[in-house]
Amino acid sequence: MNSRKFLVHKALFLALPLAIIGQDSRETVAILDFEGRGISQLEAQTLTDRFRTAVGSAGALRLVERQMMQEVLQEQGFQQTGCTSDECAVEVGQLLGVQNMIGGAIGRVGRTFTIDMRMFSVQTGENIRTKNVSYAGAVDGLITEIEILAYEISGLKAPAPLIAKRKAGVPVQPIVQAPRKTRLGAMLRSMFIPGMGQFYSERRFWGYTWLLSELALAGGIYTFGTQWQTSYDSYNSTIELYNNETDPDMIRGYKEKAQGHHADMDAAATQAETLAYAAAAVWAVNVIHALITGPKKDEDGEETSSLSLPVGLAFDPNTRTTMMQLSIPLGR
Amino acid sequence: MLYAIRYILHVLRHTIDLNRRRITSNVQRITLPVLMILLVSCEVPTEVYDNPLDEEAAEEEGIDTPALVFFPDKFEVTAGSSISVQLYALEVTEVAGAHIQLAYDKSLVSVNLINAGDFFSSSSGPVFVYVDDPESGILDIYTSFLGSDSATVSGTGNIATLVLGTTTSGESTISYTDQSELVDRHDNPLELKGLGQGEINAQ
Repeated sequence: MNSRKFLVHKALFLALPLAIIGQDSRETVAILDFEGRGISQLEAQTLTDRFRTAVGSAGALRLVERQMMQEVLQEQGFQQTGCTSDECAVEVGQLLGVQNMIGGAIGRVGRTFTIDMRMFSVQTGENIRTKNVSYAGAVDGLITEIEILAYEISGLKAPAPLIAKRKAGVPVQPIVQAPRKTRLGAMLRSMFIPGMGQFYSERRFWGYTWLLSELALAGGIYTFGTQWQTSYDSYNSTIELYNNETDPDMIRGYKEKAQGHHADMDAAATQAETLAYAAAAVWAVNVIHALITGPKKDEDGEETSSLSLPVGLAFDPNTRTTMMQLSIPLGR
Repeated sequence: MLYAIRYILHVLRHTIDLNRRRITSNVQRITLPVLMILLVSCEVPTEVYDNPLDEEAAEEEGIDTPALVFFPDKFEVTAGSSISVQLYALEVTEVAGAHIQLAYDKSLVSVNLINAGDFFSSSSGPVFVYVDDPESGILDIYTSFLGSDSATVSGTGNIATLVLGTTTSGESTISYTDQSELVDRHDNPLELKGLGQGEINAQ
């Protein structure tokens, strides 16, 4: 009885400042520690605290401070950790004198985390809002999800920075970093086939430019090479006739023909040689171009290529430790 | 057990060899044509016009016309085989007859057969007499034109065809001596500006 009286006084004491402050029309809410399933109680409590902070920041609800809650509940002999049922939550809410209660659980199955929470009316026990989220990734990423849920459970839209943070995610880095495209990879590919490095770097225009240029030059070399071969064969056969001929007029004729074929052969060889030099120059410029331009930047405007040392920090979710890693980008 | 292990190793080695050959074969299929394209350059051979009956080529060799030349003038044969060489008058004018004296290396070459050419041929046939002295390596040929329409011939033509035998291996030459001459209808010697030489290489 005395404890009940004290409780009433305490509740009035809680309500009074709120009334004095100025008839804040926001609904009151208290948050029970989330139940941890597959995560440690400490982690569950930490996430609950972050959730509380985020609800407070959202500003749509009047939040009972945790400390205050603890004092009230301890006086009444309640342990938050043991209060998981709806009835218990309602009773706690009545003790605290709040309009709404938020409770939930955070579970983990393999690498996937689940957050189930609901806000219900203390008076009616009716669910006001229910939110469920599944998240795959490191525990760190739950913090962002918890913060977003705080806004959503408050009936608000989460701010853009938080949404963006969710999209970016917390990188779950395996021990071996996923390969990234590099300038060196582009250069090596262009050395092998002109334009291939540019395609690798997603610079299709230049890829087609180098490739088609090289093909055109190769086609020219082949054409003049064929002409040279034809003239060479004709020259040899004519020389054979010239050497075996005894009639002076025929000798003169064959000689003139042979000289003509020789001139054609010389011209074709010169052209082929010129185109070969041009092809070599195009190839060299294409390799340098691939090296200098490198892969395109990603959506965030960051260079996807790097010439820096491939050493960094990575979080291994299996061992839950941070370690230094050496990554060797193999390209895509 | 040991036998089984050895058998397995043998199969593995065979498989690896097969794959290596397959890979090598494929690599060769790709690289060889590429290498051929890259390595085979368009070489332009040096122009060589050395037909002995080509007046311009003869002049470049120091043989001015009118001249007596051999056709062909170079022989690469195996020792013991025979060669056929024609004696040609090159760009001569109004020739009625010829005395041709050849010198050859009797230790390496022998004269097996001599036939008249068609330069002095006519309905009556040419006068064609020859004397071979194998002791000294000298061959004399006397021939003249007996045409009914004209008394002389001009231009380039075959005076005689010789079949020579190579007795041993070695290099030798056959040449016209200074005694060789062409004469007109009046038996006056005509100017000869060039005398050719034949090279025989018997292996």
